[in-house]
Amino acid sequence: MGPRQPELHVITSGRQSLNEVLRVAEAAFLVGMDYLHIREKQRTARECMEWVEALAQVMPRERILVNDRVDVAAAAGCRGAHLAYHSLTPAEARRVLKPGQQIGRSVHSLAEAKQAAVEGADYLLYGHIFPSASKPGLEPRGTDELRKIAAQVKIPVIGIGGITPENASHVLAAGSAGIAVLSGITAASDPQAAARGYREALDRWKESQR
Amino acid sequence: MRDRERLRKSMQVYFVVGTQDCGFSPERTLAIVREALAGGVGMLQLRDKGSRLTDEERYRLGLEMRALCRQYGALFVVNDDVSLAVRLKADGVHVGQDDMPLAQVRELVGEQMYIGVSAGTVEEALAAQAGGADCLGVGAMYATASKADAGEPIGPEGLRAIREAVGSGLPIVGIGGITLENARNVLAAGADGVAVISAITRASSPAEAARELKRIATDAANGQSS
Repeated sequence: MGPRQPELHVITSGRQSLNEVLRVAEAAFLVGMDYLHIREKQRTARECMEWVEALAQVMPRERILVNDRVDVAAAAGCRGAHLAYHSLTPAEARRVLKPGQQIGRSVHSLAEAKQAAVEGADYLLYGHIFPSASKPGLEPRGTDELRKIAAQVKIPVIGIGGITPENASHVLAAGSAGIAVLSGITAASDPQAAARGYREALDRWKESQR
Repeated sequence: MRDRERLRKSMQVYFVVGTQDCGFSPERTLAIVREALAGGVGMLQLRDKGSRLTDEERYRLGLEMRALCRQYGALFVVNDDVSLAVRLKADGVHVGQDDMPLAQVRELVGEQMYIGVSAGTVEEALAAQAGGADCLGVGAMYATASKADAGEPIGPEGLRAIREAVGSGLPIVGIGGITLENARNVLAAGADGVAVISAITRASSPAEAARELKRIATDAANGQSS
């Protein structure tokens, strides 16, 4: 069940309870979140599996990605797995996942992006683009490299890091297929209103491209 | 809260759909639903009958539909399956004459959910009204290929008799074989809206078909009030 373009990804913080994340996920999905990434590094495979099953009650399983835990993604039959530098490579993950499952990869440079594409990633997550509370002290990378990656790599690139409804258009204008948001939605006092704000920003940009 | 006037307005263009109407493809179904909502469908009913989906796949389709309805400000209704409607937190459930007693349905769905009931005769309509139905689906208006067990068409005249019997307070949608060409007759007979399947799913542009139906229904509503 294909998402609209541009895509809105939401990534869990690792700091919220399952009940909190269930509330955020249900609310955000209703107003146009396309994918939820379960990124809970401190949790066991068992816990991650329980998260997928619980979340699949409030949003479609096909819209859930599991960070790093390729085993959980395969067992749960969700959308797929999102890989980081310390994860299995896309080619290795492919041996574990079922046909049709997606593989994403976080990248921080054009070279990494090309490598991930060669290894069979289905999409890339590039960042962080703007200064962000999730990565304090790290110099943001801006949109220049994103522009190169989007131009030179065939698979979709999603921008991440400090993206707000106000600056999202810069990320899209650089050629990205969407944006990923963490605290901008998960830590918002009203996650549904926040998700709606992002969705509307993405839709406005798409409308302006006609 | 249930709001009959919102319901009446929403059901002006009421789209009933399942994967069986869209080549058995959930993706195709959702693409058509999205277009139909963009065109002006105000109420969507998931009626997945004789399809090839598992319960789990149908649930996921329902989740997608509910979200789309929310984004377009439309009401989302589940046909027949009361427990699925509850699980999906649908805005409403639509039940036929052969399904469980209305009091039991109400008990299961709670006070927030709209209950629609199919009626083909004045007796059925009055019974549904007495039982607490929020709205009626009256048909079949015309012969239809979309629903094999629809029975002999009662036509707009049958709907007119039901409207006279239940009074103006109860929202009524006509269903069965309604097209862009005959929709006006159904509305003129006293329906608040038209429920369609193939008029949208088989249109070359589902959005355009929905937009045209919306225009016809709005014209009819304005004509009646002035």
